[in-house]
Amino acid sequence: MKGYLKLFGATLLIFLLCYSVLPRLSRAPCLEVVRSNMTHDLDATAYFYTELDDFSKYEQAVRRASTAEGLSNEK
Amino acid sequence: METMKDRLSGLWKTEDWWAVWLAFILFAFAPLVPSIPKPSKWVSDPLESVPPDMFVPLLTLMIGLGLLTSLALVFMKEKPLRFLPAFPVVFIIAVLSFMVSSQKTINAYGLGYAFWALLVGLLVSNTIGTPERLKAAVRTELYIKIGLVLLGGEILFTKMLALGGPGLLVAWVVTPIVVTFMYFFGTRTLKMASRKLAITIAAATSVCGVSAAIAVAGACRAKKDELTLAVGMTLIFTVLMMVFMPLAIKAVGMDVLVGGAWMGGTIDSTGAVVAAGAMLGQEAMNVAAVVKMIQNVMIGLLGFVVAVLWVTRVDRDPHGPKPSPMEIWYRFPKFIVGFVAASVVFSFILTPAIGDDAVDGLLKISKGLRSCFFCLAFVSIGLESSFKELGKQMAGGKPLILYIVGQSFNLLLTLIMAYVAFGGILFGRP
Repeated sequence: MKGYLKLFGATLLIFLLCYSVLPRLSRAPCLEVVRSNMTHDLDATAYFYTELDDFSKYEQAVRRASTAEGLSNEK
Repeated sequence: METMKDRLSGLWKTEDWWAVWLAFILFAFAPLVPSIPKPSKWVSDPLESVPPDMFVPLLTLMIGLGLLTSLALVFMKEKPLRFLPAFPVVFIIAVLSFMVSSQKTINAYGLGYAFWALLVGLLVSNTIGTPERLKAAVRTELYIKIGLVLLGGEILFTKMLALGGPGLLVAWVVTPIVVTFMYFFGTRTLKMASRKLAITIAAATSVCGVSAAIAVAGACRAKKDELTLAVGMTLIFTVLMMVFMPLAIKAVGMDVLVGGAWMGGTIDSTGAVVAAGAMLGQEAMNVAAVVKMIQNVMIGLLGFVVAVLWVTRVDRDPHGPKPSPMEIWYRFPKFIVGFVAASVVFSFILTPAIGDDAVDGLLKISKGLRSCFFCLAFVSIGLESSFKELGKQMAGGKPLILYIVGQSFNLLLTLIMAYVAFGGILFGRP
């Protein structure tokens, strides 16, 4: 019986944390990444299998960085 | 003395080999499976996560995985009839863990299924206790080993090697240095009693968190409590790093690509890397994600190297004779062979033979199955662990010190490498 009460208490605590504390906490200025995640609903798996499939975007990013001002070796 | 016949019979009597067979059976049938059901995102109503049309696919998955696993138990001369009625309970807890982790806010915090599966299992075992009947389906090692062999298929050497120097430099130079540093720091400076715990924490910190911890813990046959501790720390610190690293990068005005590479090389979870990279923009996200993907290849190599070192050096009697190659093979964890074999088959045989698109289709299915097995494993670990034992593993806070010191070293070294590779220092700019 005591065990079931503990389980119930712990579950309730976790529920309250998730239902009440986490959403409020996400409004904190330092948790921008959490808010961004909620807005963009980023799915890492889908991202890997579709967006980055041929790695062309990565190559483009590196190439763009290479030519970016201030990063070049050719000063 | 074991005869050749005994050793051959191990092919269909041991858990290691059955993990390999079951994973390859799943790979073989993957083309026939349209998709693996996975609870979808929800906001306030959990039932949105598992709509009615998902019940039948979930039930089919449960029956399929249950029957397949019990097939191995039959050959291993264990008790499938005790396993089968208990398996649905473990499976349902796993589905619940997926459901909770799919809640939008929780998901945004990066608290994934592994966290919830562990937590639910730990709550049950430390409050009401794991019922005796349920223990028949608590098959942590078997689930982990099957999941690992399936993970092997996702490690495509060919794709990673095609990515060029900068990413490889950040991911592959730093990782072995950090693993070695952490192992020796843990065992020699901190004098941790368990070398297995030290190497498991080192792998979790320097490669990619949960998957690397599982692979290395399996390779050195670490205890479940040791794996739980390593995974628990990595899950908590991943959330902290996902939140604070983009802020720090922005605050100091660091170049976003250097920042992306830095995060890709240090944040443990792949999902968290993508989320943190997105904070710096699309280009930084791409670089962060690719560095992480290249680093993920290290899981296989590290698992293999650790398995070899443990068999030939760490677990070996220092006063005994040098083990023969046959002895090394006999003691070698065979699922690591399956893991490497899956990677080689997918990289060098299937990709050239059937093409990238077909391989991606196969991997979507195997990835779904792999997540299921890892989730079942974490539920099982939770159901088998006690807070008391976990407290003992924390002895004097040494594992935490190891994690923090190792991660700090990792952050510093990766930052230097990110500057060298992406800051226009080492690689010539066109």
